[in-house]
Amino acid sequence: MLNEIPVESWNLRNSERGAALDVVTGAKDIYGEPIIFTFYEDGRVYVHKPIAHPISSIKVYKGRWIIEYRMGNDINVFTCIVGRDIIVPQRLEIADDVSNVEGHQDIGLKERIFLSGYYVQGLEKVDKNVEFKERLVLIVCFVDKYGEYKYAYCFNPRLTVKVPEDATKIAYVEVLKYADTVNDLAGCLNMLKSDPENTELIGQVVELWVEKKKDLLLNKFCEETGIPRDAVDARRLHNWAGNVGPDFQIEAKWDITDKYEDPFKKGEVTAIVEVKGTAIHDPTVFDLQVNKGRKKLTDFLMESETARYGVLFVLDYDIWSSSEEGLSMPESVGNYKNPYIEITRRG
Amino acid sequence: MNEVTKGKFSIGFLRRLVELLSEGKVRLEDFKKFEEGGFVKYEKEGLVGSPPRAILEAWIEAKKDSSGMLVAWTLLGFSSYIEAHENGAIEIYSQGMVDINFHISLAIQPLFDRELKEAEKIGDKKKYDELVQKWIEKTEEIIMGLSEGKDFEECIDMEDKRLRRTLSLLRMIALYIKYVREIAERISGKYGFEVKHYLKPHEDWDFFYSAFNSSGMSEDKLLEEIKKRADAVREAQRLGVPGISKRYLNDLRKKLESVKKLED
Repeated sequence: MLNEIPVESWNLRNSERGAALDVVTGAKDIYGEPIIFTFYEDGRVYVHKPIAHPISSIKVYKGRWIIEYRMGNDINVFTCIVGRDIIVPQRLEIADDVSNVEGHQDIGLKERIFLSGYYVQGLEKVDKNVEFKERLVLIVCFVDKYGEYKYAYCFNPRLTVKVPEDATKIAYVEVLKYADTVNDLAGCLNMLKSDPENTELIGQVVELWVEKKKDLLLNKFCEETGIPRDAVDARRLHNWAGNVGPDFQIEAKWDITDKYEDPFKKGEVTAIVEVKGTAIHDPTVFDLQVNKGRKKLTDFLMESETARYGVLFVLDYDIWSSSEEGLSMPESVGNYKNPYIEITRRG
Repeated sequence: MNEVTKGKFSIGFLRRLVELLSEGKVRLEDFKKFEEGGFVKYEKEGLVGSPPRAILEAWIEAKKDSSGMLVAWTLLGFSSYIEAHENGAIEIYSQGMVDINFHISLAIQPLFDRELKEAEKIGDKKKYDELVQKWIEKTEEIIMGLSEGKDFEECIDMEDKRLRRTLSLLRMIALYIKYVREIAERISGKYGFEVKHYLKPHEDWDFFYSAFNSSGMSEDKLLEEIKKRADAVREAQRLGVPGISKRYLNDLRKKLESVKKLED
């Protein structure tokens, strides 16, 4: 892959050893620093790390330049590449000689990605604190000893990731937009499996599931309010659970009345929806969420100009046995049917 | 120069605000407009995922007075939530950080666990419901205390033997509160106005928050003020952690230390 290193710029100068040519190359080390060579008139070649050191040898191995340089009496080695920046959504092919993960519980991806020909600077975009739209996430696809694919998600800038059980090697790494992944039920669920205590993701999965199965919610709503099913639609109000206000609202598609003859004009919000999720199958925690949801709906209904109904949706599911085909959930939690849907009317 | 009369805004103002907050990438014309009664709504959908599907990316909801001026509006999008009130107050929130309400509830669950189980065992529904309410009230009392500036340790007796099971979670919440307050303080110092760590009893999440009174400001000054404060709460959020766990808190500690070193 790497036969020559492009020259970015050069400068000819006089030095104590006579003429010296400083060459800034297009190759970079793992920290993203450009490789600078100095060629002296007497034939010696130095590399800057960050000050100039004489080079002992350069080897090319699987597309990488492995440079040995002397620092006092020590010989140091570093690798440089001419590669591509990983900080755009793309699939990264991992080199065979660095793909093995056997015997590891956790691995660092940084060096493996670098040695596969990609620059790894700018990793702050993988950080959880980067603005939502800018944020990136890495999916690591492993192959296990039975040839099956297993996935782990990485959203820390250190690029460390847990190795799934029985995984033997990395097949590839994929860089994705976090906003895309967290707004996709399968993606969000898989991220949650990599970070099962993340209560924010637990809630996000439920919101996405409700969005997908909104008929469940709307059928119950229409049944209890007497509003024709085709006259309303539910919309999710945020693309990330961490926002102020209700999670969904139900709007009238045309002028309608409910069974109490209360009118709603086209486009008006008829109901607001609060969605809550748990994943620990604890009846008391489920009960807590139901009661908290009720309080929130009371607040929201007081603030809303047009909504006359509050819809509470609480769901408990199992993280590990859920998949992109569907969430796995007990039929009931304590005395509650699961999912639990409650419609309240203002006034 | 247009001056904003107390709490009244023109559509032109909203147009400029959208362009400013989106750094010129989005225009009000990119939004779908709905007008009904005294309200006007603007919604912008974005595409996510593969295959792409539409999601609500930003929205604005405004109330109109008889002259067509906007008297109160809310804007959600561009990593901010902004509320302009009729009295001229403007409130700017970051995106939510952690589900603090739920974390606190789980941390204090052992205070009620035994009695809840007993009530359940004997089928005393009234008592059980009362206990759940008490549990919620205790959570809200703690959040209220925190929102008044009390330390977490002042809001809950961490020495209570019943809390041994959740002591590590309680300690992490205490540290989290300490760190996010430190961030708010630093950002306030940097920008020269108050950025608060914001909690509210019925709200699940915590936010960074800044507020000011817009009365008498010119449109230009007001736009500048909103942008500055939106930048400040976003910067505060970027320094925070969106999770309460040992790993996130260690990350946050390191970040705070590195910011401190830079300041020194």
